[in-house]
Amino acid sequence: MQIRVYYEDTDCGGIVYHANYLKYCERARSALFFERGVSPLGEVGFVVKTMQINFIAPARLGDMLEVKTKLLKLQGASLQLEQEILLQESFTKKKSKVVFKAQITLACLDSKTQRIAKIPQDMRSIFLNL
Amino acid sequence: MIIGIKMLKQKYNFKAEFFDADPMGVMWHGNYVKYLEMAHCRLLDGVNFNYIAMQKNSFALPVIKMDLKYVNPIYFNDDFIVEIALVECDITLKFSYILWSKDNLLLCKANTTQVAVTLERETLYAIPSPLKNALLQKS
Repeated sequence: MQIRVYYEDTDCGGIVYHANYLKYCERARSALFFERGVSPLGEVGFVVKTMQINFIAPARLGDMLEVKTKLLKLQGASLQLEQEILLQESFTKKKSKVVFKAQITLACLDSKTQRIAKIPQDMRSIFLNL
Repeated sequence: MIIGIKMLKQKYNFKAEFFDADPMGVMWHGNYVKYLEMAHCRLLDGVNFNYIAMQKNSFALPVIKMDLKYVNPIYFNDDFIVEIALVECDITLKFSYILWSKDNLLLCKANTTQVAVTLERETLYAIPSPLKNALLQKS
């Protein structure tokens, strides 16, 4: 998924505010479902249980970023993803480098009971095809 | 970790705001990061060395690593406490955080690592002395 850095994404240090990378990751995970006509919030939903994040380099206004999502582990009711954000181009320099990397564990919950639920087959297929 | 020095620890109260809650009525996981930073900023205010002071001293402290473990949800309008503790102040600056409900229910655990850089983003490889002294004097 490609994301352009806009003014509201940056902080008073002139770079993308670090918490905003988590929004980019969430958007990329949601896009996996939207692109396949599946709602990410149906009978079940996913909650983040753990995150290990490396902020590697800053991104700035106008940068074009690409969020890449990779499946690390898929279990019955949880999964682990690796999400990497690459800086594809910049107004100042042409380059491609990793600016952010995170390992994210998600748990599947029943939307009504909020209890752990099995990941439905159509959603499993989405993750397995990453 | 600097051996023999009791590390600085503080607790700050917050409330889960409407704009931080998601459609499930709980705080969206990415918004916890802002409350970690708010606790961090209050601690720096408390030692009289906040981000403005850093800028005046020509350095900044970007976060390079962070890990979070979400244990229990924080619901909209919930009061909660962020307990922040200084873990290391040497080459890097490390803080640990524990989020508690008012009823002492564990909500989240987190850690952050920061490095000092010049305002031109050159790595300094050590926490500048004015900040180090301010943090360790209050420990």
